[in-house]
Amino acid sequence: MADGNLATSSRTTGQKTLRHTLQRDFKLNKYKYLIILPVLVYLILFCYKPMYGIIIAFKDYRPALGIEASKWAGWKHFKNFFNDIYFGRLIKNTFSISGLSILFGFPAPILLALFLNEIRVNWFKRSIQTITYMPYFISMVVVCSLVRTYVQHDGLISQIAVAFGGKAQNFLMSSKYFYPIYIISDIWKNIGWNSIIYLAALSSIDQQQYEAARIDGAGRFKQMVHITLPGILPTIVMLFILRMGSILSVGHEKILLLYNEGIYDVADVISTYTYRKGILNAAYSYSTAVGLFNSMVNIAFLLLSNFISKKTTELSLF
Amino acid sequence: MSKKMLSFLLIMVISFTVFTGCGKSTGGTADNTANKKPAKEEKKGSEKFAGYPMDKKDTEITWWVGTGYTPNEAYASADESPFHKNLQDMVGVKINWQFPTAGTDSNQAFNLMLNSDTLPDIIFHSIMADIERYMEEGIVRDLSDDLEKNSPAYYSFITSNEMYDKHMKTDSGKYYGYGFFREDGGWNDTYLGPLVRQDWLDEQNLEAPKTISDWDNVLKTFKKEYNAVFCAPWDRMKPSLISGAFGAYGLADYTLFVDKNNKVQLAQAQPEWKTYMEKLHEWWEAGLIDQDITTNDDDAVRTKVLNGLTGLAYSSMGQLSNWTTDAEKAGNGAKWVGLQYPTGDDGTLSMVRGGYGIGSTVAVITTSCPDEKLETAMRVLDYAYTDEGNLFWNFGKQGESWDYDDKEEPAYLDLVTKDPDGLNNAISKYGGSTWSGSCIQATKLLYLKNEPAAIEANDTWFYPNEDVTAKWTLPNGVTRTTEESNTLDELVSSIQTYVSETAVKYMTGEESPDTYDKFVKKLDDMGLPTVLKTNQAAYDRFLAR
Repeated sequence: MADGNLATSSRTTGQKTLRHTLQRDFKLNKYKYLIILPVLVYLILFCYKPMYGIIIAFKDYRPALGIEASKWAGWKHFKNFFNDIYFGRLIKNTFSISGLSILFGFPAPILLALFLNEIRVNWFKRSIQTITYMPYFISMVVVCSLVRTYVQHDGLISQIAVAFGGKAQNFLMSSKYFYPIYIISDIWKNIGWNSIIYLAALSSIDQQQYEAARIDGAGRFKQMVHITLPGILPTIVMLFILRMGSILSVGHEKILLLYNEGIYDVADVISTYTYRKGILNAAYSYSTAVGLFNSMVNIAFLLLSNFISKKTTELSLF
Repeated sequence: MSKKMLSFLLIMVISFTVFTGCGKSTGGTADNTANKKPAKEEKKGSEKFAGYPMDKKDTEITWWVGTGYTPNEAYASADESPFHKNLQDMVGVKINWQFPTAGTDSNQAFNLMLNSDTLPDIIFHSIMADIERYMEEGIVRDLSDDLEKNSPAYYSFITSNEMYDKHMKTDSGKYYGYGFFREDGGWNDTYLGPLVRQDWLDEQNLEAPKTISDWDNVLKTFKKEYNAVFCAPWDRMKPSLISGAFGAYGLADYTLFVDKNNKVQLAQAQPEWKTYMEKLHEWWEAGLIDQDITTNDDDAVRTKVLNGLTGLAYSSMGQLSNWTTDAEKAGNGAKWVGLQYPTGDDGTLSMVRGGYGIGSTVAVITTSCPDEKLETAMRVLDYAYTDEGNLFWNFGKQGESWDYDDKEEPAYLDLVTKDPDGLNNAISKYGGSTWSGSCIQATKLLYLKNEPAAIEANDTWFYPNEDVTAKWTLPNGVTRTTEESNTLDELVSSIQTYVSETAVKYMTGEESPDTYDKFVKKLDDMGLPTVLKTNQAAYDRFLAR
């Protein structure tokens, strides 16, 4: 932020060429530039350079020929994807899983953070925090095999269901239970970790506001609604916009580990289908085309939610 | 925490989001960047070959192995693995081994490896079906001219048997690689089959079930008496299970087979498959099939077996060995034995899972291997097919892991038999043929590796049905043209998806088998006729070789 001011001041004061301005700016802020250099190199090497490879979405890429020599294919791979008989189902499933994750998974860490914030007993607060973010460090493979054990037909969930007069069954073999299983286990795994950022935001709220509110006679709930929530709103909005930017990126590892042929109709998403078709069968160009399509939709959602947020709350990423 | 801390955290979050997004494009290349040093060139190109080990310690061969003989999980790298270390000494050439990172899918690793700048000299992977494309693109070398000269042992081995020879060349008669062969012909290709608890059969005075009606009876009795159901690991069961009893050729996996008129067909597009599905559904409804069936893996089934939740099952001989040891340890009196594949009530059996004893994996030499190194690479690969090399690839180094016993038969030494990881696991530390390799798998190895009950089971599955184990399969050696490969790439995955999900729905009753005609009609719409025609053409060319 400070650099920006300096840069503008140097531009306005001296009537010099751009080159001089830049030189001056570099000289003034050389250490800051030095600090940013590794990240810049990283971004160029690993994020911008590979973007060149997007071309293969429009080619019939074969590794032996290389990107240059492979034949152009135009929109063929996109057309193949859009005309695939499973296209509609894949889009529907991807949006359903992602949408439900946002609907339930996004507010969960906020609620946990608010709840933790109200706890005044320090050791209790710390233990809850530790317990809730521990699952984050468990590998996905282990989490999924735990889930599979819990929901099998003689598993824990079935036994509870039977105790309440229900029927024992394997919940992963029935289409209607897949979303709850997926989302609940997702919340369990990520809630603690995701709440850390909100806790940080909470602690930056000026304590004097609370004192003032108390003097004005606001109870704890009122304080939460009128001070705490507005205090962390910028953080919430920002994370929400970022989350919208990955709406089509459903974690395919988890689905691959949980789904089976019987529930493809709800569980097969773009990434798993492309995995089966693209990576395993060496359809490079096709996978790239789908990846590019995914990114486009993601960007569209990111920009859209950013725009809406700018209009309504005046908070935005850029 | 102050505002600064908050902004720091926010920056972290943003950069994580950005970085993970970018990470995807770089993921796979890490595997093969490690060893890109150009191999040293040979000093003298045309030195005469004078037996193994060759005196070529300064020649380095890079060798990529996707699956089959990757190092045993006990070792972090090839430098620690006895098989990989010893092979270098045996052939007298420095080998630079390359493997996919543990846990990666080997197809995925292979596809990413192809994109690196320098290919390894030797690649071992299941690429037989698409070999024409790889040769046309100049990835795989044509070895026809040099095979007899540089790999005499291998050459005389494959030319000694018409079926081997047919498998290991292209339609135009080019030799391209070193395949995997089972010494037993096809015995161990039938490594899966039905298993039953003999002690329960005895208790109930039941005969070993032979037909589907017998199975009905046994399943119902076991359910009534022991509350036990039919159980199997899904990945092992879904290709075919007991299709043969119904005249069918597959279960939930898209399976192409060759019918009696030499026509390539899809198993699921046959009316017999419908009958098969109806029977499975009947069992499913009656609660005779494990309700977790599509989520079962080997470990889940092993637990169920140990807990007596199943009495009739379907799995591999390796798993049977595990179950037997488990039962002995637990002392629960369970006695698992192999059971003959059931037939229809009229005694007919259309197929049993099996093959010609020739794998689909092959070691090829790439165009990155320079001419000067070609002979050395071919000699290195030929070693596995010599008498001495065959023993090494199967059992390891003589005197270290094995030696001849009183009957002049190879026998493992204490190093293997007393290995803390168990014999079954230890074998793959010293030899390279346990799963598949560029070698000939010795039957003796399988006999030493498995429990007697497992060997017996394999005998029961294979010998009575020898004539229906391989003939129905589309041979592994069938190769497709580039164009055919491209056509199939586009059509097959949606058909695969449709077939597997419909099979499961028919079995669980989520969809009624009455929709079968619609199912077949939809398969046709999805391009099944083209898929069959393409495969038929490839198969006809194979037959004409």
